[in-house]
Amino acid sequence: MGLIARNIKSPFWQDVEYQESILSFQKDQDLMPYRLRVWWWNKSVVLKTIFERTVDLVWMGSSYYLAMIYLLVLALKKRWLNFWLVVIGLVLIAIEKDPNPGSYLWWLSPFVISAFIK
Amino acid sequence: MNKFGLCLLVIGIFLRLFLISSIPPHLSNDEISIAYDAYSIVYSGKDEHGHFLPLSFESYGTFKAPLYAYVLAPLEFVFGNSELVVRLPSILAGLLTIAVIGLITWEITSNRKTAIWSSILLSITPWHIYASRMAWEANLALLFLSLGIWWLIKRKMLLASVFLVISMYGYHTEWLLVPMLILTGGIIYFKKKVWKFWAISLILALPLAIDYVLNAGPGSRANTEPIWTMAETTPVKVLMTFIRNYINYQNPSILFFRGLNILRKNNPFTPGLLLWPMIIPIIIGAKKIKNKFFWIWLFLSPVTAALTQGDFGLIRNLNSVLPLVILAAAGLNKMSKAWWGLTLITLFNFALIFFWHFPREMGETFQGYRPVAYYLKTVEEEASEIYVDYRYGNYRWGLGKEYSGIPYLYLAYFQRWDPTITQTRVRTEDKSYFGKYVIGQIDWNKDIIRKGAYYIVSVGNPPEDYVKDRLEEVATFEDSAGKKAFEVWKSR
Repeated sequence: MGLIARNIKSPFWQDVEYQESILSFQKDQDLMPYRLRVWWWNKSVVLKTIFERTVDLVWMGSSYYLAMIYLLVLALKKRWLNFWLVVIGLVLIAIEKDPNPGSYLWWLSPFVISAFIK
Repeated sequence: MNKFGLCLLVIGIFLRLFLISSIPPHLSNDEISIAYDAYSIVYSGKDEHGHFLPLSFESYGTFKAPLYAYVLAPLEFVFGNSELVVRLPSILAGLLTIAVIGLITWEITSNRKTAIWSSILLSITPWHIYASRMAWEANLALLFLSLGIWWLIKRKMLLASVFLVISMYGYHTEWLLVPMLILTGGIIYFKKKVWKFWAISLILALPLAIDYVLNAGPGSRANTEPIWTMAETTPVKVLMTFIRNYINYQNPSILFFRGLNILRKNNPFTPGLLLWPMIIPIIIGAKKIKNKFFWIWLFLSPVTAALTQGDFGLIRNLNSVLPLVILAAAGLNKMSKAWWGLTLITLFNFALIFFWHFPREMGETFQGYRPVAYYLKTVEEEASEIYVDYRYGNYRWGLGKEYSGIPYLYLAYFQRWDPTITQTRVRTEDKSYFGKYVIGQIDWNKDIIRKGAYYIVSVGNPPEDYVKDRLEEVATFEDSAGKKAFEVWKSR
């Protein structure tokens, strides 16, 4: 997980396109005072996007649904510590602007394997 | 029902009716084609292409299901042509579905409180609010489907058959979903009498099947939309595509966070189809409901949508909203005040996006031809010809996308043309002629400037400088974002 964290070079919220989509949305349409707008829109939407991207990693068929298989196996075996470690790993992968799950998802496999070592 | 529940129900109904004629700002392609076909049926007995009382409306090549147009026709005869009238069947269907989901939940759970809360939750669900505010065939079909399911669970064979099959006349998704529900539900609820149930349903659905066999050409939707009609496909590819689509239709990210595509693609503010705090009661509710038929209904609902091409279709998958809301209602009694607070915040957030940002963000994507039609009606007498460019959007300088519209339907509907005008239209390679109206692309290099002619172009295709001295701008029209959308030019 440390490796994944170290490899986050450009989080999606620093992406110009993402920032512009927020700014252009507000420029001529905003109803709210500036401070409220910054809190309501800019902060909450980044959290919302993190969740979306993480769920998409699990659900959109990346690497033959590897992340979904990890989580299902751990949930069925009720290894909740490992389950949440994999979730944290997925969040870290999803933060990257271009996540490349094909290579990163395999790095989470130790958390799955360790769940079965007694 | 307590006061809080009643308040939520009132809010939900208010969100369905507030500014109904102006948000969404104009009728969409699908809405206007249904509206005009209904109008054409009332005054000529034929659709816009001259087919007598069809069971499949060819429309602009989209081959619509017939129910909505036939329900709308008498309303247009009585109340005239307007956005509100076009959307009225969908609005009423939405309101009635709120009641019917309560009845279904009562039958499934035998819990009065859960039944009432399922109605309240549906009333505040963005997916259903959106569907009920537009003239979607799927929303009308959903009402009949839900009534059919209610009677099925109550073991009323004839009524179940009638309502379930009527929903097949309402929308194409039901063509596959309803037979699957009749097959499985019949076995569960009618046991030895199941053959009778199947036979009644088959007889009622026969006209639709015969019409499909006799009239569906290669361009009809049933022959172009399924995944097995994709180019260079194999059975394995079809199976893999179906599995991928089916899983995608269960994607929580789409269902709860970004499925309601009322903003531009990839806009991070796009709301979910369901309010996201509902994830929790849905998970809890899944452990509580034991009814076998309910689970079959839940798992079958996205099957038809998953068998069609394209991304997640929120209208194609509209049938899933009912079982998901019932699950949420079943798990609701454990929710704390904090959960209700979050739910209210997300509901407010949806309302803000829908009523304020949606018409502004998407202004240029709507075909605002209604005011243009009213204006042209006032100058029609003096015009020698009226040329209308079907392209719209600010596309020429890369300031927006180029959209392809169907202006003749808006003109015909809001000007109340004699239906024979569209039925006897003349088509050439690049233009269609409807009396004085000529619909096509206006190319200022080629099109001859005729004396007394009017030219309607979008802001993306203004006249070239070298023809401007022969023209005068007589009117402009704005889109819902307040930006100039259409220009009307008259030759001197």
